[in-house]
Amino acid sequence: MGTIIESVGVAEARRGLRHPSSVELATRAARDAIEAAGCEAGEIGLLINAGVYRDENICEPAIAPFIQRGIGANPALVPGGPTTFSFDVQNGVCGMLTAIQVLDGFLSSGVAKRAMVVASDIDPTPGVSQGIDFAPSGGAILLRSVDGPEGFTAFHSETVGKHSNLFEGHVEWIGEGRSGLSLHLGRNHAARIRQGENYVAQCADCAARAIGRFLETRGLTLADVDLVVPSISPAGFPEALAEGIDAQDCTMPAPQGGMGIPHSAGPALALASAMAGEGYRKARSVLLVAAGAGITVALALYGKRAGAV
Amino acid sequence: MSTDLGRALPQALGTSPGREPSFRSRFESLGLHLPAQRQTSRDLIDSCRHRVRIDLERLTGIRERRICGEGEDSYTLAVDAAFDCLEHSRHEARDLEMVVSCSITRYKGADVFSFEPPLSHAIKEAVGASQALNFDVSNACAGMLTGVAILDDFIRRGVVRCGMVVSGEKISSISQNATRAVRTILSSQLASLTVGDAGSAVILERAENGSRGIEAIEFATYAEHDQLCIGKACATAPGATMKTNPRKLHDVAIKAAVPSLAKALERCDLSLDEIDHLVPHQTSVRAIRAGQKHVQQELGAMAKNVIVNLDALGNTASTTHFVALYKQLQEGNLAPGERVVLICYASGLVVGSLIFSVDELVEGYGHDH
Repeated sequence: MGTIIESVGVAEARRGLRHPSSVELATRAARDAIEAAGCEAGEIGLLINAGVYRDENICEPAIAPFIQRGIGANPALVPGGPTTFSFDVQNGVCGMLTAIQVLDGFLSSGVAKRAMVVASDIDPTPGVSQGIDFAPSGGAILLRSVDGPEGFTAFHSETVGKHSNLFEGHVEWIGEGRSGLSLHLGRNHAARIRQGENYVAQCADCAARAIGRFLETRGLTLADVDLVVPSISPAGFPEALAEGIDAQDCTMPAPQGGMGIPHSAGPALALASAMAGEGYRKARSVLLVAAGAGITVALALYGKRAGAV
Repeated sequence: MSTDLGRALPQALGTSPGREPSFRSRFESLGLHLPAQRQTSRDLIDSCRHRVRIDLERLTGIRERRICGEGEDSYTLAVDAAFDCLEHSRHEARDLEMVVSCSITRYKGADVFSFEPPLSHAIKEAVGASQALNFDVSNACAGMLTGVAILDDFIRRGVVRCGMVVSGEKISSISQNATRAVRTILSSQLASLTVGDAGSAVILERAENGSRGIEAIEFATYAEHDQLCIGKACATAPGATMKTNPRKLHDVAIKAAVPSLAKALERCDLSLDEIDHLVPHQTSVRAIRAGQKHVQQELGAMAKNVIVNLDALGNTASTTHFVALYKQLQEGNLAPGERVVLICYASGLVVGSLIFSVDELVEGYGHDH
């Protein structure tokens, strides 16, 4: 029994739209994945949103229910009917892979047959944000439980605490001293992302080391991995990782359709690009790699039939 | 943390009929941290900008709540609760293979709502559990129970043996900001006046020695009601605001709680009158009593004891169940062999039920501890 990637969906902000919505992006990406798989939204029993920077800095409820309603995955209470459980997992750019690890567990436990992870980010405080250089975009990965040897075979995660200050993102109050009209018209909360100079290089270095340790403990080497799919984000990470490891097939997918570099949707967009290529079709073993704030590295080893997409 | 996957190992959350779990998980220890500063309902109403004729204490059963002082935030509450949990545990921080932070609020520093790195990263580093897999879960007031459901699944599948679910809720800013808006009992921010700050932590481990541990977990999200309670950054003041439609939220929640509870009981082959303690999400005494009445009508039975823990702490958001359990443990009100059901209803709208058996967990607490 295993968990396979059934389809991947992506969404970019509509042209000319000044303030795209994180929920709308994630919902479109989810619909894209559902359409590609040819299934019904109601078959998705578990939905995790791994997006970070969201509409209006909503902290309650989770963002996942908005997406669940958007795609129509069992939003209503129907006595005796199927249900969907949705919630958010946050782990920066590693969030989607963390969510896959959680969902793979629930699927293998028989909680549901299908599950989905979505992620999207937007500038939550347009006009007053600092350091937001990702492109608003969304990604979705649809997972299905199957009998047989295919699917995810191992996960690995590690953090390198000494680098925790290399990437920091928050929303803070900047309205101090404002009053009257300026307080009511002002944008009083602002997103701040601070990225250290050598952050991407350290992400790649930490990821390369983690890959080495992960494979070694399983008696494997990179030669046993047919395809390495690094997250598109942070910008420059796939290229830096390719230099740091000896992988002939380390894909460096070009962003699709002129999309810029995303944030938490990076792993989904990388996967979408990889799946469009011949290398993915031929591959029997695929290593998904993400690195983000912490520095956190998340790895997922995926086994598939050669020829399957 | 690295995991090879043992396959076809079922577990409690919505497990298909006929499947038996490989392992069970149990609550090994609980931790609590409360800020020292208290605020009475009377003081809170007196601080409202408008003249408000509401007897909040009578309406909700909340006499006072704790609120964070200077230097206290979601992160510090979580870390202090995690340390308290470890003090009550036979495990050390280095035994924790997973740390999941589940708070709604993510304040780390004054007026700084932190997104990255995740709070769980800073928490695990602070308590000395660097090796643990960490991530944050956000699921409104169902956050901690969602974290427990995930960790329970990992333990049941044999992927980890021991982990911590933790939450620090500095949520009183919604209450503070509501004092400028509330005018009448119909205010959309009235429910914001019921919250209090608290940190809570729980260690789950693989159950040994025949402990029944966690027996069933049931969760569903009825997303057509996702607009009934929304919390977000406040436009005109530090912190957040929360707007709710409390009447509709309550009606939908108690209606949805019945099938959730029924499914969880069915999985354990129990009826509700075989449950010794029922811990509902702590909102207000009236809401709890009305929910109790509805469930009793629908299921034809009621648990022997319904725990209400609002008087001194109010609604502490994602931490309410474990804050209430901690007090019950301290007062010696739980006995080994008793069965407890935790029921959560949260914005989203999320409804969940968890059934567990009390075991030697009680030994670490009590009046003398």
